[in-house]
Formats: sequence, structure tokens, C-alpha cells
Amino acid sequence: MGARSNEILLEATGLTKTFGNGVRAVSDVSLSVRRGETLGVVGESGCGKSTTGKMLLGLLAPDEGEITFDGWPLAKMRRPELRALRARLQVVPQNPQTSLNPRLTVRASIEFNLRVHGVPRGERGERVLGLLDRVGLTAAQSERFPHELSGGQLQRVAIARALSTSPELVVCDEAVSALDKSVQAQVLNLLADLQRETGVAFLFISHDLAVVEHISDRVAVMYLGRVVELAPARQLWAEPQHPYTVALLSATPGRGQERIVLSGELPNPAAPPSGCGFRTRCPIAEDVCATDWPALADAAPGHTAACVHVGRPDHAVAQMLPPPTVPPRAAPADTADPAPSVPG
Amino acid sequence: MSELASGTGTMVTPRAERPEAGPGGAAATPAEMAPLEVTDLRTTFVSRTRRTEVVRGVSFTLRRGETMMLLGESGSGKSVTARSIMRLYGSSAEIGGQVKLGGRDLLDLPEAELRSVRGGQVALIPQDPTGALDPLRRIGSQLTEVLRVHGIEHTRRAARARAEELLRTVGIPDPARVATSFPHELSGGMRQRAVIALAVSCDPQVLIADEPTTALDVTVQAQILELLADLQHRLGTAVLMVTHDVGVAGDFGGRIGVMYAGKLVEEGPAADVLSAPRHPYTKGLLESLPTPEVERGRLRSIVGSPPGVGEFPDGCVFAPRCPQAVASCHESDPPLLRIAPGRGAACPVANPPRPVDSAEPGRAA
Amino acid sequence: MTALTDVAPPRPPAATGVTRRRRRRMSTTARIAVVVVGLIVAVAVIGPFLVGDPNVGDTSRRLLAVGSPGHVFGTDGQGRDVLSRLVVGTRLSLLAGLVPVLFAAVLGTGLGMTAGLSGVWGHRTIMRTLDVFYAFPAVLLAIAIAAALGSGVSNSIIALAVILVPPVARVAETETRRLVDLDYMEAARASGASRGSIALRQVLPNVAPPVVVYCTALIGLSIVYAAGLSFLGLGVSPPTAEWGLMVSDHTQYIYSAPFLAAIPALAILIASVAFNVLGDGLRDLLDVRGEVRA
Repeated sequence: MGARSNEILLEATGLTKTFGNGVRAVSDVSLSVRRGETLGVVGESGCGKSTTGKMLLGLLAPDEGEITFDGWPLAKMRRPELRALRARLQVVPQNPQTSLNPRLTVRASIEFNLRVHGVPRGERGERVLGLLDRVGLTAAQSERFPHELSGGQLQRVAIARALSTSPELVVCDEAVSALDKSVQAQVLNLLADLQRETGVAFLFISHDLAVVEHISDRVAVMYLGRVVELAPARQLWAEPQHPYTVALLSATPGRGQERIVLSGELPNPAAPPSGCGFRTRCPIAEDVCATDWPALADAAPGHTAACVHVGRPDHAVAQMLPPPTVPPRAAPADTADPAPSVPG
Repeated sequence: MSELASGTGTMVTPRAERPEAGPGGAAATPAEMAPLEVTDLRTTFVSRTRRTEVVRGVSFTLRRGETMMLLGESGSGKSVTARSIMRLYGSSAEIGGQVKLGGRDLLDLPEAELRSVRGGQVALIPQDPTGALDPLRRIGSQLTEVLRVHGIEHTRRAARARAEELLRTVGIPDPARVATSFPHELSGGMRQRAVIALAVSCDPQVLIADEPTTALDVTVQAQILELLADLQHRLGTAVLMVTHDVGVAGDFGGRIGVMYAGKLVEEGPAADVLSAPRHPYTKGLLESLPTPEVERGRLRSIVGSPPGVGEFPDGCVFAPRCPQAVASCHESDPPLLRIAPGRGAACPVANPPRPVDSAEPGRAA
Repeated sequence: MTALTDVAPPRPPAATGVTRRRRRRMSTTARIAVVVVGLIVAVAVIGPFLVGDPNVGDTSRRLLAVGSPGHVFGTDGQGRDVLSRLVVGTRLSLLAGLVPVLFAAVLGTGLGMTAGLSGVWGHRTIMRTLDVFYAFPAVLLAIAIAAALGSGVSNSIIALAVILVPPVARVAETETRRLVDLDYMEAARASGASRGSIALRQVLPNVAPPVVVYCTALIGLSIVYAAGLSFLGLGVSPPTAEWGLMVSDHTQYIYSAPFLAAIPALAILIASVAFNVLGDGLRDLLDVRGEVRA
């Protein structure tokens, strides 16, 4: 598999999805996942990251735009072709409590997938045990029901199920978010090991920046249904270009740096502001931001951001943002000032 | 804000400037007196067929204007501890030990008196703001009702004015509009602000915040944490915050109590605990946090998973997952040991007893 | 304070690791219901071989009181032994209650799952059609259907099956809808499985338990309805022994033998309550999660 790395496995262009209630969940999203890489997708709730994931899995048809998997357009596939493709494109869902059918044993859950892809009955048992062993579970646990397992064990089973058909891409939709940190680390390690061994690519959707930063090769930041920045993980954290990314990174608790507290909240996706969707909260918004949502512009090789400031010679977002309104919490010792202003 | 501040007596100094006094120190002035003193709290859920002990002997003291973070993973009993203090479980739980609030033991209070304490001297900010607000009533009317029930304001007009002032205090830009809104008309962050306004409306001595930002987005979470810190700073309220997020605990500061399987396993100033953990569980927890520096796939995780509620092993509860466990760990359950001034850890193996360390008065009485 | 001299705080005697084990237990009342239902079924199966011909009566010995020698439950207006008729009637009464529920269970589950898994229009069509049946009071509808089809056991069974399908379908549909958006259903769809396969292997295991519980309780109701139809002359025809018909028959003598009608009525009541309680017991039994919900 290594020989084919850098080859694009999944490509989405111009994905748009509007729901019946008028909410435009995803607008003009273009992403690509290369073989064997991990693409992280971060954003806050309602930013459209899960909807994007569902469209990439072919579970939700986009209103506009096209998705190709290994060169094959998803929308033009017939059922049998789509079914064959499913073996190569799998999902690890978010909630360990609901990612497995409570009425089926672990074995039955995994066998369901094997059966779909035509593994003969006689081989299934052995395959299940092999998969469970791979994710660190025992044969005895294969006869358990989901309620008899812990959250971490459940997600391991969900991973085993996703791997059962040797997929080339696994969409992990908040796959570790519900786990306790000490268990989350085990599962993250497992995912990384599996990737090293099998060359599987991950699309890793999460709101947890620390997790995404750790696991991803490249990261897409989404806001209000759009990708606002796309960059290699290291570079995104080192030199964020979009003011939203800057604020998001600084808001992550435990960073110990000065925090930029954004005023206001996510605009109503059913009635987004004109122009750039972030301008209502953006500390460096200009008049021009109200006209159009800027296209993704190259800030560096492989690093794009959708902000009018990108590419300007004076653009250095971190410096342009005003100092935080409230003294940082980490060092309260020098704050004799009794009444800092209320944010907002 | 003068009105709010006057309710608490003198304006307290920011917590960082207060001298470090031993929790049981004899020199406690009334102002310094701990508003909340929890001793050997034990909560057991009782059903028809089973008794499940969820909190197993938790003791801590919360002084005026101080923050205590209860940090723990799911099932550690951190939330139950906080809610047991307010006796929110009714007859479904047996609560043992002592919860002293201003000299009174909340666990002995009759239900009627307890009701006036709840929302009055102790207020709760729950994780989900939606559940804390009546969906069918306007925010303003919910606030005025609390103000009048607790006898803070007597006339409707004064209560209304006060309600708007409270909404402004919690950083709501147009309080008049929000006061006439129904909860569903507000965003998650605004709702949580309204709940906080409700919680501080009666000028409580102790504010219990149970994962107040977990349901919120990261950027909104930052706003709410700033707000809580700011309110505490201005009102001098003691805050007991429950969280599973090490980052939140570190940012908010104050003291940290790390809970595992219904017990406090480590306690101390946030910065110290997070920079130099003394209990193997705290150590393991901190090491398992993903960082960009750690190579992918090489996170240091704690083996196994936390015990389920009611499945606590004999001996030290962490021993089955502990890399440092020795034979004696599986036999007796170590108490919270005083390891340094203001710091405790329930692990004698990682903190071998030193001969001269008895100057500090023991806190577990 | 030194470390190890401290006594460990007292621990509850609860043994570790026990709580996770599945507990499948029924309450005492449910166990009694199991015994009662078992007895009723046993009587229905072997009872007719143990008692005399229920249709042979001696008019000289009519309306004997309960406890008369040779006739433990007395005799009816035509001098027939009430016990024999009660025992022999068990089979028909039970079948008339059970068969419609079986029909309704299969048909209702199928319809409910189809509605739950299909799109907006499929769902609407099926559920609105079923709502039409809801618009009528169930008993009246059963009477109307039975009257239209004419009297007879099979027609009574058809009538009852028709009125029982909508509520069963509703239970199946509710449960299916609950599942549709869950993560594992999404994973199942993403696996490439066909709709039928998902319905059979992922949805049915979840839908079956509540339907079984509900239908068990419905048997009790169905027995009462079947007896009611017979009582009105829309079910079995005389002189067949059947509980509803017996009540109808015995009420003629309400003044001369007031307890006579109570005997088959009591049998209906006991059977009905037993199935209802059994339904409740099954609910606890089939809940795989057991007691703990962490």
C-alpha cells in the first residue's frame, strides 16, 4: 500500500446540503483523503462536519457536488457496485453505547458485516476472533452483549467491525469523544497502530482539538458549513491563518496561553450573515467581508484559508487580534484589578 | 454591582492573595471560616434489590471565594459528590458523613429548611441548561420568582429590575429582551448564562457547577468559564466545580480534588497537582492526554478501564491498573495522606512516609 | 499521621464483579401468572379427555348448586355439567383469544417495521391507514366486522385480528423509529447490507421483545373480546362449550342460580389477568440490560 501513498482515495468537490427546514448544513465543501493518511475535521457543533461525514459515506446524498472514491463517482453507482464499495469504506460511530446493537452479541455484530460481504459461514467465526484479538479483546468477550462491556471495549468492537472487510478508508465520527481520557489514549494508539499496519486512511471528525492535532496528518477546520482552513496539522497549530482557527485554538482549555474569547455565538445556520459567516464574531472583520464568503486561498504550500487577509503582506492573525479582554486564568496572582469587564 | 457585593459582607480579596491557611487551622476568622466543610461523605444508592456505594468517604473544605475542582472520569462519583451536598437524590440515596455549611449540617436539616438552603446559600449550575429552565415560562419571570420566593425582593417591580441587572451581570448584552424570551429562543450559551443568573440570584455562599461547559462548544465554553471566574472574583462566592476536563481544571485554577472510583485520590493546588502529580492515577491521566509532541500511537495510556459503579475492588481501587502497585495495595485501601502543605495523595507507595512531616495537622479527622 | 497504620474505611460486603452479570428474574406475581397460564394451557390440551361429554344433560337435574355430588360446579339450565363445559370450553376460548393475537403479531410487526424503515411517504401511507382503524372503538369495530362476516369461530378470529393489528403495528413502528437514527443502524447501512437484511438481523431483534411483551398482555384482552363476541352470538354457536357463550347462557338464570354465570366469567377474568401479568413479567425478563443503567 505504501507504494501508492499520496494517491487520492476519496475526493469531494463542492458538496452542498440543505435540509428540509432550510438549514444549509454544508456549503461548497471540497476535501480529499489520500491513501493511508488521516484527515482531521474539526469544528463546533452545527458546523456541518458530521453531515459532511455522512455524505462522504454515501449515507446522505449531497444536493450539489460530487464524491469520488478511488476515481469512481458515488452518485452514479448502482446498488451492487455501491455494496462492493462499502467494504472499502467503513465507519466507526460516535457513541459507544449506541454504536453496537444491544440485542446482538459482539460476535453477531461483527459477523453481520462479514456476511454482507460474502464471507462463508464457516470462516466467519475465525475471522471474528482474529479481529477481536487485533483490537485487544478476548475470545470470551465475543459472546458478550454490549451492556456487559465498557465504553472503551465497545469502541474497540466498533473498530473491529469497521475493519472486518479490510477497508481502505474509515470515517471516525467523534469516535473517541465519549471515552474517558485514560481509555481514549488506548483507542487512539490502537487506531494509529492499525493505520501503520494496514495502511488504512482515516477521516477523523472531532470537536476535540487536542485529539485531532495528535492523530491527523492534515486538518480541515469547518465553520458554519464551510471549510475555512485546511493545512498540515503541525502547520495549522503553528501558523493558523484564519481568525476563527486562531480563536478556536486559543479557546482550547489547558493550553496555558492567552485566550481569545470570541464574542457572541454561532449564527443561526438557517439565516447566516451576508458575506463571510464568521465576520459577526471576527475581531479583524472589514467592510469587504460583508460582500462575499472568501474562497480558500493559498497561504503556504498545502495550506489554504478562506479569509480576505490571507496573502496580504501584513497578515499575521495572531498579532492582529486584540489582547484578551480578561486576564488569563492561569496566572491570577498579579491581578489586583477587581473588576475586569464582562466578555460579550 | 454594589448590591451584589454588599450581600456577602466585605469584598473579598482575590483568592491568590489570601494567605494559605490550613483547612482546620485554629486562626480562622469568621470571614475566613469555611462555608462548606464536607467530612467523610458517603452516598449509597438504594434500590429494592441492591445497594451501590458510589461516593466512599470524601472529605474536603471549601473556603470563601475559593475554587475546588472535582476532577474525575465517568463513574468516579464526582457529580454524585456535588449533588449529595445538596441532597438532591431524595430517598433514592443514603447519604452519610457531614456536610457543614456555616455551622449547620445539611444532612441533618429537615426538608423544609433544606429547600431554603438550596438556591439560597448553595446553588447548582447543571451541565444541561435546558433542564434547569422551565420551558414554558419567560426567563425574567423565572428569575423574579426565585428572587421573591427567597425573599430577596418583595415587590414585583423591584424583582424585575433586579432580574435584568442579574442578566447584565452574567454578560447578557440586552437583558430586557432576554428577560422576555422563552428558553428555547436562546442559544445554548445564552441559556447557560441565564441559568448562572438564576444560580447567583440569591447570592449563594457556595456555587456548585456540575460540568457547566461540557454541553457547550469550545468557543462558548471559554466565555462561560471566564464569566464564572469573573463572578467568583466579584461576589466572593466559593465554587465547587465538577469536571472531567483536565484543561478546564488547569485553567480555572484553585484547588483540585482528583476522584477515582468514589474516592479522592489526590488533592492540592491546581498548578501543583497538574505539574507534579503524586498519585499514580493522576500521573497516568495526565500522561494519557494527547499532545502534538507525542508520536502518534505512542500515548501513555492507563491499562484497563475504570471500574464500573459498585464494582470497586478490595484494597486500593486503582491497584488493578496501577503500574506501581505492590502486594499490599490489593489488601488495604490507603487513606488520603498529607504529603506536603496543602497537598494530599492516597498512595503510600508513590509517597513513602517521611519521618519529619508531622507538622501539618491531619485533615481527615 | 503515618501511612499504613490507618485502618481502611469499612467497605460494604458487596462482592465485586457480581453486578455486571445478567439478572433475569421475574417477580413473584409474574411467576404465579406463569403457573396459572400453564394450568390453563394444560387444561385446554388434556382437559377434554378427563371430563364427561359437555353436551349431555339431564333436564331433571338442571340448575344444581355448586358442590352438588357428581357436579362440583353444579349444572346449567339444561342439566349439563358446568365443570365439563368449562374444561372443554377452555380450548376454544383460548384459541379464540390466541390466534388473533398471533396473526396480529406477525402482521403488525411486519407493517410497523416497514413503516418505520420506509421513507416519509411509505410511513405516512401505512400509519394513516392504520389510524383509520383507530378511529373506531375497538370493540364496536370487532362487532361490526364479525356481524358483517356472520357468526362462527373463524369470523370472530378474523374480526379480532383486524382490530389488534393497528396497536401492535404501532408498538413495532415506535420501536423501529427509535432505532433508525442510532449509530449502529448507520453502521449497518454503511456496511452495504440490504434493507431486508438490516430489518431481519438488526431491527427485528430489538422490535421482537416489546412486541412479545405487548402481545402477551393482548392475549388476555383478546380472550375477553372473543368471549364477548360469543356472548353476543357472533362467535361460536350453541351448543358448543365456550366461556363467553356459557356466560350468555347462564345469565338467563341470574335470579334462580345467581352464581352460575359467575363461574365462566371468573374463568375469563383469571385467564385475562394471568396473561396480562405474564406480559409484565416478560418485560423484566426480556430486558437484556438488566437492572443497572450506568
